[in-house]
Order: sequence, then structure tokens, then C-alpha cells
Amino acid sequence: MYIISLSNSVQLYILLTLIFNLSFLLCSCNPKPDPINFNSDKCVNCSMTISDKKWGAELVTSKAKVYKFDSIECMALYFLAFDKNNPDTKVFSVWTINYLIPGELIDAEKSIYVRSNSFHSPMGLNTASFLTEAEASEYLKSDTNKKLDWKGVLNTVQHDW
Amino acid sequence: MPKKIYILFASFFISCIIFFTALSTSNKSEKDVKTTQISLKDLVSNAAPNDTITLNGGYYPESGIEIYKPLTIIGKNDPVIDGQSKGKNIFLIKNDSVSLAGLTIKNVARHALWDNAAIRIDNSHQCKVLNCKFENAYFGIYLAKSSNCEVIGNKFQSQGSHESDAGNGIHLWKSGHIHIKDNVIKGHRDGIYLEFGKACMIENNWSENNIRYGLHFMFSDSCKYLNNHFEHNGAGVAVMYTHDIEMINNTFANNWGTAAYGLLLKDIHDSKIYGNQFVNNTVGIHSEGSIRIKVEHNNFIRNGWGARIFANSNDNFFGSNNFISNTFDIASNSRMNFNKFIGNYWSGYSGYDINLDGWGDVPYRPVRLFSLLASQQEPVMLLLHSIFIEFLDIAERIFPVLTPETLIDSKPSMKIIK
Repeated sequence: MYIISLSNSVQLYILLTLIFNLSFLLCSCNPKPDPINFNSDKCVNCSMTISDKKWGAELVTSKAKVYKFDSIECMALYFLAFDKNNPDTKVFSVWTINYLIPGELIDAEKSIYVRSNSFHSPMGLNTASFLTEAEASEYLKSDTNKKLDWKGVLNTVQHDW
Repeated sequence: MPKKIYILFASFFISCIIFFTALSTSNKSEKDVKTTQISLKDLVSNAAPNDTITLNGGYYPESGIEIYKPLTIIGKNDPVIDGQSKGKNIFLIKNDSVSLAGLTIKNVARHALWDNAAIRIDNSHQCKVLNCKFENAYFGIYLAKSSNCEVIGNKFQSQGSHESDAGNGIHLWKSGHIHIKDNVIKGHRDGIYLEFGKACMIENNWSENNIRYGLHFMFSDSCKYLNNHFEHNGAGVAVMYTHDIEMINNTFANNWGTAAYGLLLKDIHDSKIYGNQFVNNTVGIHSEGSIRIKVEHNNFIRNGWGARIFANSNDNFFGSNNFISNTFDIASNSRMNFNKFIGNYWSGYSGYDINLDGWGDVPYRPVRLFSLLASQQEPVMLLLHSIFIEFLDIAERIFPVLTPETLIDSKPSMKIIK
């Protein structure tokens, strides 16, 4: 009896450990962004405290490390030099703040960007990100404003800023 | 019945005043408003260019007061303009030579997308804001593309907290030759913020309990700030992506926290830091990518780190400073050093002066081994002041292996420099 009950508890223990490990593995397979703590988190690129809820960005590595930025341009700069500075990990996902919903992070690769002089972003690229074309179109009525995608933003930061 | 007649006369007289103040639009007239019945918007729109409007007390629950002509508004006996957290800016100035003085302006609407201000000066020059009080303003004074303006003797008080939105007390954007003097700014995001500013003069201000920085320069060249006091801010002053800044006789005190500095320098060159007091800060000066900065005659007292200088800073000069009772005098993140330290007083110096010339005969090494370890592995800080660490430090001082070999003060002063 004793042996059986002991083996039962051992079995249970092994099962629980397996479940725990499995859930841990499942979690770590999907690195997630972390909400920005405004007025407390610092921009990794420019050291400034992130405080304006209209602006901000995040880069998540495949090891689930989260880098926070005060603006799209700071993240773009960091992104462009990322592989050189971090040879042992890769960029898993990039996020920017939805201009229309303060503090909300949206997928940077799918966002629609508008560069306009009417925006004053912390580092002066003056580019805001939107979730949908419809939301961005409101800010594209002026001829001087320019629509960009993520590649376009990287290109602008590299050559035209 | 002489009493009744007297009252009748008085009421007639008062109504006359009201009538005339409302109607008279003559040039250069003096207006004395004694009632709150007339809206400030009407007064402004009825006034002729170069008029002076005098508000004698009163309460004006208004916002969106737009000024398109040269005008002076003077408040006597504390008139209050209350935005009631509605609308956008309370005052919007869109003409040169507008002066506002002695007003209390409060409750600016907070909005996620609009930077609403108590006074927004847009594309206007020679404007003045003097001796006004700002209570619960989102942004206090917002100057955009304006020049030669004066912001003097104002008080800003906002209830900014880490969780809530807060705007800047005085915000400059693409503005030059602005004189900011004798202001007291509390509870904003940045006390004073300059973005693309030029040749501004900032003196005798008191900036306290602001969430981010007491004073913040971004891309703002050739500015000067002197005799200011920065206390209990997220960080005292941040000077970023800028050159030719003069920082003279300021006090940076009690800026404590993980990301708190007295003075944060980032990508700045050719500037001067002279005669300042850095007292009780986590880091007195934090320097990243700064070039050709002269740091002279400053006092660094009871800071966690007196100065933290990253290896990408070079050709900086530290001379005639006092480093007194700092946990670490200087820290760096590398063995390389391209900066010069000479003739400073270090309270941690234990050398001798045999020839009695006032200068120590043995060079002082201001970087401790432990500060190098702590900059690489922050949790190591737990071991601070342990015997083992003291022992390592002494060994490192005698045979430097890890600390920057060239980061020495070859002529340390034996006495506090006055």
C-alpha cells in the first residue's frame, strides 16, 4: 500500500512538473510587449524618461527581453543597429503607440505612419502611427504630410532625418 | 431720506462705469472693469490695438480667449480666469507685443492629443507674461515659433503625479531669445522645456517636484542658465543634443531615484559648467557622449556618484572642483579615459604634501574598483561598505588593474577650494 501511494504521489509530482515546464515553455515561445510605465521607464536609445503618452515604442527580442523607447525614431535607430550590437539574439517583434489611444501598443510592422509638421514627437521625426488606413487618412489631408510604412520609417530615419 | 439718495447716486455711478467700459473702444483708453458680468472675450474683441485693459479683481469662467492685436491686460486685486477644464487654450496670442500681467489663470483642459496651455503664444514676438499665477494648468506657457519674449515672475503649481498626465510649465518650441526669469514651477512634467530653442536666457528660477526634469534642453543651442534652483525633480536638468550651453551658479539638490540625476548630459559639446552646487543627488553629473565640456569650481557634496562619465565622453576638463563625501567620486564604464582631471579637492584623498605647496604629492584615483563593478552588475551594491570590498578597493588603488589607469588627478588639492 505504502509503495503504491508513494509511487502515486511521485507520479503526480512528475506530472505537475511536466505541466509546469510545458506551460513555461509555451509562455516563453511567445515573447510579449510590456506596458510602458510613463514617467518612470527610460528610453534605451536616448536615456530620456518616457512621459508623453502619445509617443513611445517597444522592441521585444526572441529571448523576451523588452526594450522601451520614447519615440518611433529612437526605436528605429536602435532597430537598425540591433543585429550588430546583439549578435546572440534576434528582434522578435516591434511595437509603437497608437497615436489616437494614449499608451496602447500596436504592431509596428503593420502600423500606418504619417509624418507631419503638426506633430511634435520627442526626438523630432514627427511621425505618428495609426492602426488603420481610415484613422490615418484624417491626418493625410494636407499635401505636406507623408504616409509611410515601417520600412519607410526605417528608410527615413537612416537617410532623411 | 439722504441715505436712499446716496444709494441711488452710487448705483447710477456704478452702472455708468459698467456702461462706459463695455462701450468705449477709443484708442489708448484705460479700462477699469469692476464687474464680472462682462466677458473677457468681449473686452478683448472690443479693445482697439495698443489698448490697456485693467481687470480689478473678478472671476472670469472662460477659455479660448484669442488675441489678434497688440494689447496689454493688467490684473489688479487678483482677477481669476478659470478655464473650468473645458475647451482648448485659455489665452491664444497670435500677435506681436501682447502683454499679460498679474492674472491668475487656472484649470486648463487636459487632452491626450492637444497640448492645451494657459497661455499659448503662437508665431508672435515681443510678448510678455509677468507676475501671473498658474494653477492646475496642463501646459502653463507654450511659446511656438516666437521670439524676444519675456516670461518673468510667474508661479506655476500643478498636481502632476506619476500616474496622471502633466504638461510642461514653460514650453518653448522653435523659439529664440526668450528671457525666463524669477519663476517658480512645481508639479509639472518638465519645469522648463526647450525644443529647438536658441539663445535663451534662464535665470533665478525655482523648479521643484516636477515629474521629469526641472529644466530640459533638446536641440537648443547657445543658451545660458544661471542662479537657478532645481530640487526633488525626476532629474534636475537634462541637456541633450545641444552645444554651447553655459550653466553657472545653479543648485541641483535632492534628485533621488534609479534614473535620477542632478545634471544629465547627452550628446552635448563645447559647454561650460561653472560654480554649481550638486548636493544629495543619486548622480551629480551623468555624462554620455559629451565633448569639450569645462567643469570648474563646482561643489559635489553627498551624492551617490559625484560624476558618472561614460567612455564615449572625451576631451572634458574637470578642474578646481570640490568632491566631498560622495559615495563614489567618479565612475566610468570602461578602462579608457579621454578626460582630464586636475587640481580638484577630493575628501577621499589620503595622500600627503611633503613640499607644502598645497597640492598632494601622490596622484588621486577617483574611480573605485567597486564603482566599476557596480556599474556592470547593479545588485553588487548590496556589498557596499563590506570589509571585503574595502580590501579590494585598497588593493586596486595600489596596483590598478581594472580601473582606468589614466583617470587620475595628478595634482589634487589639499584644501577645499573656495
